[in-house]
Amino acid sequence: MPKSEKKPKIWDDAWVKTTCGGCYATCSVSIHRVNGVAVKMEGDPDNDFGPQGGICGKAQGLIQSLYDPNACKYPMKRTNPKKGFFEDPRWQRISWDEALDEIAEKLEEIKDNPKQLLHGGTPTPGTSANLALGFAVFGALFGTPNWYIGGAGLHCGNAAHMGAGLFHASWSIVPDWKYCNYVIYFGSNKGVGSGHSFGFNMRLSAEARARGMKTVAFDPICNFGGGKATEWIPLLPGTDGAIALAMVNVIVNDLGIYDAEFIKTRTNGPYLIKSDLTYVRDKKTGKAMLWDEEEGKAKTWDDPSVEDSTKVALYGDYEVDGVKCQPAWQLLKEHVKQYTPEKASEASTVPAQTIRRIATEFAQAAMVGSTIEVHGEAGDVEKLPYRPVSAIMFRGGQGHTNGAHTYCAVCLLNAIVGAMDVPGGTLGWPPVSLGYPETGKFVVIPYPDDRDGMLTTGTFMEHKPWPVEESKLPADVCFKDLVPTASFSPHPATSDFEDYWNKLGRPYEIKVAMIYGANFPRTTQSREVVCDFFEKVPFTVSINTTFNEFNEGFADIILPDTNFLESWGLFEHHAPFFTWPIGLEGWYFPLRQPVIEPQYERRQVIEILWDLADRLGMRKEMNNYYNVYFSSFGGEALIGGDIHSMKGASGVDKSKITEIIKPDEKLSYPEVMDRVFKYYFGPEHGLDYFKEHGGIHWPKQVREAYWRPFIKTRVPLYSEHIAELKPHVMENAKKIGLELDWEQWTPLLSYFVPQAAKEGSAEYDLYGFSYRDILHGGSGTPEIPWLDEISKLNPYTYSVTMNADTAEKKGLKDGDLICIESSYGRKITGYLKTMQGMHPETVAIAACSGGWARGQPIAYGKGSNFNILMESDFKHICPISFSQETAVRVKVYKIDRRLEYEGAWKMPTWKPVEEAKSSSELGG
Amino acid sequence: MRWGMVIDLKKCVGCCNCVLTCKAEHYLPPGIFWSRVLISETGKYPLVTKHVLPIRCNHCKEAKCVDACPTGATQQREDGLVWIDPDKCVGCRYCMMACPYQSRVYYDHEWEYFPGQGLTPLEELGRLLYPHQTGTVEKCNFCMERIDEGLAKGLKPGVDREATPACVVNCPTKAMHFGDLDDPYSEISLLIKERKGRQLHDEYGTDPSIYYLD
Repeated sequence: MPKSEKKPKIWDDAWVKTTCGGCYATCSVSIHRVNGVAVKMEGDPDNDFGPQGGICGKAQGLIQSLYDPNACKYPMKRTNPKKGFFEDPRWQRISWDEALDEIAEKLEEIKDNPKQLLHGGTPTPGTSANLALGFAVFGALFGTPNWYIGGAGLHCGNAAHMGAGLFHASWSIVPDWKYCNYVIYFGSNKGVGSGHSFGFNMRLSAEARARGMKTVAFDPICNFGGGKATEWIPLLPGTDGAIALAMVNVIVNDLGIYDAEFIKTRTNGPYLIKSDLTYVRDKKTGKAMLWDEEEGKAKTWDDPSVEDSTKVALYGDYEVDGVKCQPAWQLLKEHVKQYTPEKASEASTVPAQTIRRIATEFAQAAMVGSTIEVHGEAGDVEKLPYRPVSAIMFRGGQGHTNGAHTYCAVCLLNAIVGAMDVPGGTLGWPPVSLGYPETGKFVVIPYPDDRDGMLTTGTFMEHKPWPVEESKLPADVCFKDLVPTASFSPHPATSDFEDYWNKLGRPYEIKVAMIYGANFPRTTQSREVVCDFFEKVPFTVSINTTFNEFNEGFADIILPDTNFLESWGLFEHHAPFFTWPIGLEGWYFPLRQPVIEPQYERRQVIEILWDLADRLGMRKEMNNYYNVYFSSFGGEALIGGDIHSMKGASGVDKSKITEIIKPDEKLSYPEVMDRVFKYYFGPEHGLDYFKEHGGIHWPKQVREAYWRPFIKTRVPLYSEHIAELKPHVMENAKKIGLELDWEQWTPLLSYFVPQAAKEGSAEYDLYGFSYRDILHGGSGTPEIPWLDEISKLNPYTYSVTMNADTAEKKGLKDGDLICIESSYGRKITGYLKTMQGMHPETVAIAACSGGWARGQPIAYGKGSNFNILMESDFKHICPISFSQETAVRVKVYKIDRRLEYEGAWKMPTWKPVEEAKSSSELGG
Repeated sequence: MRWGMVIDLKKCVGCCNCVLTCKAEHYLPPGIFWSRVLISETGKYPLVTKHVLPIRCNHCKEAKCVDACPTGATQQREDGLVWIDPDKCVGCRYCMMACPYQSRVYYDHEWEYFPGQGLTPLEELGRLLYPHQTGTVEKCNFCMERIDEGLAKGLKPGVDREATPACVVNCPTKAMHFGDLDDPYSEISLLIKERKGRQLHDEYGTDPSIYYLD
């Protein structure tokens, strides 16, 4: 700084503890505010909810989002009646009362059939995470089942959430970094690029790598997951399941290694299976049965006489009441024999000997039979099984039409060696909290269901992993009624929705869409398909912090939400299974609080919804819901927390509900927060305490961190529920003329060729896929100037990447403008950057770039929007989990213009420059 | 006493927080970077290694830039820290040619982060709190303000958060360490010894104060 300059008078110099708004991780951070301006973000060093004093680059960039002159400031009304992804909305400023009155009026009009409301969204960077338990509540209580999430099944791990729910009562899985020695990444960047709880995963995985943990990454690109791995193994997209099953085969059948105790007591491996592939059930109780070898007879799984697992059979052919049967484990062990490493190699291009070697390393590193003594922060000590291996998967691996089988095959790999929620193994985000010690509140405990003893979550959101709901003829436009195993749905914005809706006789039309955050045309598969749906919705409301491709194209009214640095937040932290620190990391319930007062006319989304609720006479119902929900953490899971159970809140036994909010009270959001904090943490720990400390910390007990040995529940190695559900789904699907890939509806985990592999030809010779860049999330980040200028320095972020040899064969070179055309005839363009670290049959793009909104001038034309290339219909989603097929068959060729911008308000001018070339010469 | 830094490449994931935190800490104008992260790959498919290398001024013991500066603007302190006095810099940029690490940047002209839309409150405040002079060369100063103010308060750089460079304390993977290279028992000296820390391009004989752990 020049000495000659004088500093201005400092009248405000404060650090405010709050949570970051860059992604779902909501890390605990401290914001420096000077003279009323937020100037810098640092991590909060005093707790485990994040990187303990650090933050990621993306997070720091968000400070600028607070001051983006293009962001939403006032309620606006569309004056251009035409909708479409290139249309100019011609916004006109209106007052809050005008806006809310009009929305209430539209909602009032559809009150006789509330299903006509479609609600949903996604928190984009800068918006708060009040989606699931704030926004969803309004729509669910209004009476609509139609919950539509941006990029459903595309960015989300549909199969991952389903599988992690079934196997870990959690939203996703991660290695126990503290003790794990050997990790296999299948299409995942956990701790090294993105994913849930990026903050503490970055910190913990870095520590693990430094102490020598080995990581093997199966990934078509050597960038984040692959780039940081000890060993990168390229494969063709969508073939991870073939490899995982081949490994299971090698380990169980060739090496003969498995954790028999775990399989007998913590899985449905011993349950007896009949020839129709369903369980042998006790005639009286309907419970699943297993075989007592000592007494030579079948018993229900919970019979006290089979507590001693040595009596339980994993092998043998039996007869129960004249019905032939065998343990599921035996069936599964035989079934996987077909998955030889050679066969997996054929599908994936990974050499068979590599698969065999990795399987052997994994099995040996698992140390089946070993134990460890673990000491908790509070002085508790437990002797536990020690399984320092983990196989993890997220969006990339399971983002294919074989998603459900693929993800569960990875869970199977962990289960056979017992590496689940024990030291060193694979952990879910914490599904068990025994409560804050001083009050005994904030309790979440998974439990076995009565019928089959399977793992049932204490609290969850979106869908209910277990027990699986019945299949019904769809009354919802998302068709989740039909396939209850799916967590999110791409419908109704799909190209085949109308066909099936017509077959159902068009029970109703979507007349109002209320969307929080989100940017569907950019983040969802195929903008044309999204456009076709939303241009027909007569009235769309967008609550957002930014103008984007969605609200410019389709919103009739836009309401300005507060930036996360202007927001209060409570609800996002109710999800230990979603964001809370894993393993022995301490508990921490953080607060989100405003660093500055909301600028312009921005308002808290929760209070906007309460204002609407008042206009519609719904406030009482909302208050009741919150009471039920908060009381659910009082010791007993009163409701699941998932979307379906929200409506059921009114039926909960009143004696179990603590009245935190009186039915007719109209509280502000901070007032509600104060009461909830006091209910959970005692009268001295109200909002004032949280404002000062940023949150409340308490030590985690070893039995919370490594809960599996302490909670007697089982996981489905054998997906019997799929066999049970299949005829019902088939029957309902038949009624609407829908054919799903019924072969996949098998309880035996199998490899199915992903749809992308079936669509290849000599012409469409490459696989296109997208991945998430470390500096970006959602679609809002390229608009942040700091993130944009750093992205421009990265050779890959805004480029289309391709294997160098493949490019050469096609006569393409770095910097060429190329067209990527999918086999569905959809085209995008981008600038080429070749890499050695890419599978030769692939081409890749960092997701969600290539913006075209008027309200995001910084992001305009930077990178390419991969999602335009995709197809969105039943054929391109997993028939069990609705995971989108994220790989697309493409051809690439040189082009002279940015085709996908034809018709937009201007052509992009950005081009990669020389400075983006890799600078390895400085590497020394 | 010689301030130095250690960057653990096993831990670093290339999130660029150091680049961004530096931008926030010093209110850096658009296009000005005091630190960067270089991304590259070596090897041939399928045996490929990706490299992520956070770089910034190396505060070399034998600083070529100090020798090259004709006005004495670039100076080395007794604690090894190399800094530029903007009041003395005439923008000749000889130092930029002399630096073998391309760690210096010339601040050409003022512009806005949102072009044509005026300065944001953050930029306006930044220009008052940490002015940058056009026509001068800039670079990483090891957060000398934090070090000096910290020392004045009796804090220890590398140990106390407030007295340590912002990029170091805000690194989410704890890949960066700071301390005294002359103290054989400082955390960084021990790390360099134990994990065979290397300097960039030691063949130039500049003796950088930043070491990397592979």
